[in-house]
Amino acid sequence: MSPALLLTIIFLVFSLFLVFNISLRPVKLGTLAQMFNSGFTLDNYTRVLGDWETWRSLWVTLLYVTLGSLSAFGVGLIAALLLNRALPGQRLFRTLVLIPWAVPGITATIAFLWLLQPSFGLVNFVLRSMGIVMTDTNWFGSPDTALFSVILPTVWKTYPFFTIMLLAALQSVPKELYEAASIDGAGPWHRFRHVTWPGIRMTAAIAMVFNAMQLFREFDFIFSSTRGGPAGATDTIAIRIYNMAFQAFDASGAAALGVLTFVLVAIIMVFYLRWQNRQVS
Amino acid sequence: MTDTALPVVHQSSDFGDRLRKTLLLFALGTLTIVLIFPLYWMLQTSLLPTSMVLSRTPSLLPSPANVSVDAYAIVLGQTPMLWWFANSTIIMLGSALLSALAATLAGYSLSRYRSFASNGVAYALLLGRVLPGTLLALPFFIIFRSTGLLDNRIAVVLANCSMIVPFATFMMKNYFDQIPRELDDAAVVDGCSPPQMLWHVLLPLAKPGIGATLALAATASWVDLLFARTLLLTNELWTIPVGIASLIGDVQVSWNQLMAAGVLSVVPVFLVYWFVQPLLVSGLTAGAVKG
Repeated sequence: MSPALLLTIIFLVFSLFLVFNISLRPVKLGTLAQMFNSGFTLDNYTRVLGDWETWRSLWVTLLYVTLGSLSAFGVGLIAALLLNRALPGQRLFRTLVLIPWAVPGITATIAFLWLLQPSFGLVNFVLRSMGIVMTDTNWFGSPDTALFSVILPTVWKTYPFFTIMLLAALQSVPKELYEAASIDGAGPWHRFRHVTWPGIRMTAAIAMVFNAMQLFREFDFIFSSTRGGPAGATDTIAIRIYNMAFQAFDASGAAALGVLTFVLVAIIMVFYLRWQNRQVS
Repeated sequence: MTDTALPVVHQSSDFGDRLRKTLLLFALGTLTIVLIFPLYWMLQTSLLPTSMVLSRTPSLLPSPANVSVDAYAIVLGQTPMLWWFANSTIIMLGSALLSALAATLAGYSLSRYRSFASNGVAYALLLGRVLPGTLLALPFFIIFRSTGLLDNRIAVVLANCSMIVPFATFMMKNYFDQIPRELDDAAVVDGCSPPQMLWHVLLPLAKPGIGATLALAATASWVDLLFARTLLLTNELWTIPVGIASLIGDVQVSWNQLMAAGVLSVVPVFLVYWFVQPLLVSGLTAGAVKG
């Protein structure tokens, strides 16, 4: 057992202990000594649970994670299906399609901030010149469109993960099955439905869970574009914890929300592991 | 596909095959262009002179006469971009080397000596993957503030490593598992001490795994915005992501400059993959040892 690994685990466990400890004390963001000098209370939990904005955050998180993951899965699957064909220039296409994966989240965000810029952005220009929308939409700045806007860079950066995973799964589907299906007169949709999909379903589910976890923790796209606004339209749990701790300096409130999140995640994980075990056996 | 089985079908569908292939190629090409477009647009904007950026009718292709590198000159000369680049590089190298070292040793011992620790790593890994990083930023901030490491690049290196090491250890353990134990035994018979065996026998074989770990750790720390933003307070200590985030919405900074900063931020990540690729490819030949 390596000491470095042991230190890492101690560091993580101590950090979680600290979060739990702070969540039970009425403190602002400070040093350890300041925080440990105050008494215990359950106020933080009642305060967080009684705040309707907490529940709004939960809803926003659910929307962000579900819509983001499903869209990234869709794009990733289409890309994987096309890249799986024996077509000329396949290697080049693969490299190009997977590039967004390596782009820093902040860079993806500014690229979309510029594309969706209200007055001079390309998207509004195209919409204007096609006569679809004549007024300039403030994509990131309006509560109606902000969530959609932060989902765009999210999907753009995360679809390659699905493409990589699904491409690997597609290559393990036996070619003979396609031939047999063709001989039986199955069209493209039937071949996908009855040959391809059963072969990649498991991988798709696992990739979906990983991606959903990633989006649940996501910070970069939202914080650097909207910071959770406007009017809480993009205020996911992860962003809310950060803003509580480092904008409002409400360390104990953030910690309480963190512990509640931890419990929620633990419950979901138990169900997930149970589901996974059932699939394996 | 059905050529040999049904030659009749083959003849009649030759044209159809070609048409289908062309259509698929067209679809793939279109998709690729759409997906890569945000990067193209960033590059295109970064090469515009400032006077042409704010246009109500942007053109898709820049005219060669107007290409200008002013935006790059301004970003590099008038913002602390070079400082941020240096800080990002220091933090990237520190995090990558430290976590690769820790993960290699830990992965080796987990692979060769069974212990309860395997479960510990698995849980730590799971925790790191499911808990919001923003939740961990809070205790990290408090710990580093109390130990006087706040606003120090070391704090960011340590925070990054604590996220990377569990996952990287898992990767390295799997890698060492693939290297046959017979090699360890042979080395011991030849009189190697365990450290010698690790250094002379296993590490050369584990190079691709170490390369992958380095690439992963380097990328993860290069793109990190959360920990760097939380733990570094002084402008001159910021990293590229924190710096770029601070440029967003700054009225002094025009869009071509912001896009130039974006282009610059991507270059090192691509370089890392470029340099690591041979290592990853040689991982395929490492299989030759088996048998």
